[in-house]
Amino acid sequence: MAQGDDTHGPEAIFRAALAKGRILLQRNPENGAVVFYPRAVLPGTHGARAGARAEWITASGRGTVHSTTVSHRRPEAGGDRNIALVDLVEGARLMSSVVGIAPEAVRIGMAVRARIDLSGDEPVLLFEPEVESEA
Amino acid sequence: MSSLRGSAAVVGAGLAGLGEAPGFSALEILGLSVDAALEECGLGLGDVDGLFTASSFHSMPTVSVAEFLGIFPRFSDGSMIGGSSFVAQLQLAAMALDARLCEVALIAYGSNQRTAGGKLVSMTEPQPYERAYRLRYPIDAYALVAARHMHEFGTTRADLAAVAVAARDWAQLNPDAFRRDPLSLEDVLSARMVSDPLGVLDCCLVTDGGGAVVMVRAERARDFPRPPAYFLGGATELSHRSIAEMPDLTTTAAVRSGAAANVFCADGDLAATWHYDGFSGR
Repeated sequence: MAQGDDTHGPEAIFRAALAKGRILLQRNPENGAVVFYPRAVLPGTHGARAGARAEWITASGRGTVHSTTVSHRRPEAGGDRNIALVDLVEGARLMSSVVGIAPEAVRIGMAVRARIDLSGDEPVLLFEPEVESEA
Repeated sequence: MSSLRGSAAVVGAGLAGLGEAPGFSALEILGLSVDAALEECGLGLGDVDGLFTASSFHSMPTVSVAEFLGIFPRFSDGSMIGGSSFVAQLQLAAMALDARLCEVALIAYGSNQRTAGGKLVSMTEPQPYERAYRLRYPIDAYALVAARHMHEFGTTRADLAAVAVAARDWAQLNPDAFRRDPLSLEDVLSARMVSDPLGVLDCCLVTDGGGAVVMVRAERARDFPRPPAYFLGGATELSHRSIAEMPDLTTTAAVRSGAAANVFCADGDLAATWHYDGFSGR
């Protein structure tokens, strides 16, 4: 049951998958619309009829920076940090932070790839610049 | 056209504690603005039977305000939709008056956020899919909007700074304004950066202050000392809480609510427009 299972709602399922390195997205099987963040009920923005059930898909982790800012912080507050909105290739937008590059070097339109930080109390979905493959 | 057009009017307005009101609580500032509004129209607290207020601090704002003022409103609304709550409540008050649910509607707000902490009151609950990125609300979200606007339309930091400069120019004409010293484009552009592309002078001032208005039905609006200000129309639209959920970063819900407000004015009738634009990037 993509809205959840018997004991977990979509948010808990999303976080559990993220902790295992997978980014789950919901999709409306009736029109293919991809949804983020995961909902217990498909959102009205996607034209879902009542009773429609989302299915889970795994995101590729590839996306494009839709907007970006450098949130300036004092060094003792962790220093400057990037905050970005990322459009996933699957068609959903989410908030994240682009790392592995100076925060001010992040550009709108930049191709990025997901990296899941498992070092803290909860998994955090981050992005870093896409590296051209040596094909 | 809404049947509410011209059905009610503001007959009294009051302000209190604008700028800095050290030593006063938010409710005290609110109370003083209510007193000023009632004094202007010659009514008393005992006449108020409709109450409209909202708060980022009080979990039951209408109940707290009614108790503080010693009133027993038979109709009340505390819908919190952000900084526009009190403007939206003009429409709700007009509806309640029109439906005979109250006779004297009071809309009031008070804040001591400058002297209480000097920061904008932040979101009360963490957003599940944002909390990991430790946003500073609302400035980081507005910065994402401004950056996207610059990308799509070629808007410059100077274009945004011009908004802050214009606001200050108007403030210099207003004796109640908190900051009245001159502000130049260069001042705004050279100010400390907060969230690119917004510097500290692009940001909303954090001030104390209270405001209140008293509304009655149009049929008795001429019975008060000051000329009535009639309610001609109003509309709201909700869109998103998290900036990542905004359908289009450069198109706000005000595009639709503005059209829905459906206030028809003849050429030359519109003497002033007031925009809620505390940040230059909005």
